[in-house]
Amino acid sequence: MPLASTRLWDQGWDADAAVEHLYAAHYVRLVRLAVLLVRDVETAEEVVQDSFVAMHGRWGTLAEPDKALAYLRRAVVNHARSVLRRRGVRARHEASTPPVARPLPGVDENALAGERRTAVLDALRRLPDRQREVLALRYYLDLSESEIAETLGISRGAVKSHASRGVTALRSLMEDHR
Amino acid sequence: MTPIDDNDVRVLLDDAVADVRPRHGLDEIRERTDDSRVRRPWGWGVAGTVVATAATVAAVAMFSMPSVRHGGTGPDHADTTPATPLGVRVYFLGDTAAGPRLFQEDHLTSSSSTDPTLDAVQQAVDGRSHDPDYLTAWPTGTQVDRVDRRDDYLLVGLSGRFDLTRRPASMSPALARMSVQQLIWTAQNNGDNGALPVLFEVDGAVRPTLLGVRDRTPLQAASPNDALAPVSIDTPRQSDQSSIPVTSPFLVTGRAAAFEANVQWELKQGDTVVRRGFTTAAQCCTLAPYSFTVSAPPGAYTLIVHDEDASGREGNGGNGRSQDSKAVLVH
Repeated sequence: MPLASTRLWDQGWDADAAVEHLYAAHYVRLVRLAVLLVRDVETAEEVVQDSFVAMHGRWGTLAEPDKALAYLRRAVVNHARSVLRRRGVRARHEASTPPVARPLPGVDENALAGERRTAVLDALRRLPDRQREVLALRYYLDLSESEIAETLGISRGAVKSHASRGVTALRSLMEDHR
Repeated sequence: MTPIDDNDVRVLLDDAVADVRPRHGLDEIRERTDDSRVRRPWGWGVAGTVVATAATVAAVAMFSMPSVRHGGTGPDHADTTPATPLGVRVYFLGDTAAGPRLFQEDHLTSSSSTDPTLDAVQQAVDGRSHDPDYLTAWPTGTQVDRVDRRDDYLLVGLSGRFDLTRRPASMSPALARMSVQQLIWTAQNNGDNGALPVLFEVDGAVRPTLLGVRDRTPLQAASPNDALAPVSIDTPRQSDQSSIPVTSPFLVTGRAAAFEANVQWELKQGDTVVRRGFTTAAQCCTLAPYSFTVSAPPGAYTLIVHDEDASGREGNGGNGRSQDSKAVLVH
């Protein structure tokens, strides 16, 4: 994604200014990335907001401004994975609580409407974490293999392998959907 | 559509989230990244009632949010004589230079109570504080239905006349977060519940949010420095809504997170400062205990303990002082 904020540091902006600038430039796209990872919009917003808060706290140690965006991407992926893991507790709770028919407030139904979109998001959720993350970073953010490797802390070979398996799995799941 | 090549996957993923329109999130981020700025979260600028009692003569900031109820006015409190009262710790909200923060009080359970923790959380929700400066921001009629201890979390069930999942327009995000923390701190500090995180239910089910604060997984208590008031008085301890009877000299203790650990105090009658002094908390800049002794002739006073006004350093308009106050009656 275009990085209009590469001169943040040169301009001597503080953490607050960095947050505002990066928010304006990247918030929507990062939330959409998070939706691909965690499925629902509200959680995605929380994941990205958490990431901005974390980035704000680290601003002083982010030596170069473009590292702030790389940090944000990494934080979004890590927070999303953490949310998915923690959902286990809630799932256990809900298993012992009868579901309530009332729709959850705040969920943007329109955003998730559309059978194909739902099917794609459902299919992504069924992929292993790494495959889902690699697909989202490669095909949604258009990151290079080395950027993905750096974001996820894995080798380029592993990126290739996860991408290949992820595409195959996604194709298979989408065929099931048809 | 079946993805065949890279470009198909690209189109598929783009399309899957093309309609996602996130809500504005910058204010939330700013609130969470800025604990130093003086905020007026209680409906600042909104015309409303101003709490003013003898004990609040010198309060730094008044509260104007209409739905905020005055502490100590809850029903059934003054006339209740508990059959087997138990001591519980209850947290209430107060305004400080750092925004809304928690103040603690020791209470007794009501006579009808069978669950001390539930009773304490209900007292917190109702704002049944002894100190009239302390408040609750929970919507009127909010009911605590249950507090259940599970293996690795506490389940607190709430219900009410209003939609508790949403943050009222007059409530700032900071106030909503601290109101949720109010219940977490109260639940954790009673019934030997330790540091178990708290999962909230609204109307019998876990919702995505509580007062607009996410509630998807059990919530942890914020750290003392983030949740508790920068300055608070522990003793003389208020046991009801009347002035605290003391004999001179009397000991004042509490906790403060003050610049250079400087804690200042005044004993006032009306606007007149009868005594003043300062002491040093055990540590600088983090919550640490302080204590000092006050001598005064018999009479009714307001004791005020505060940190230094940080406005001179931070240019925040003179509202940088945090304080706690107690009405005392010296015999």
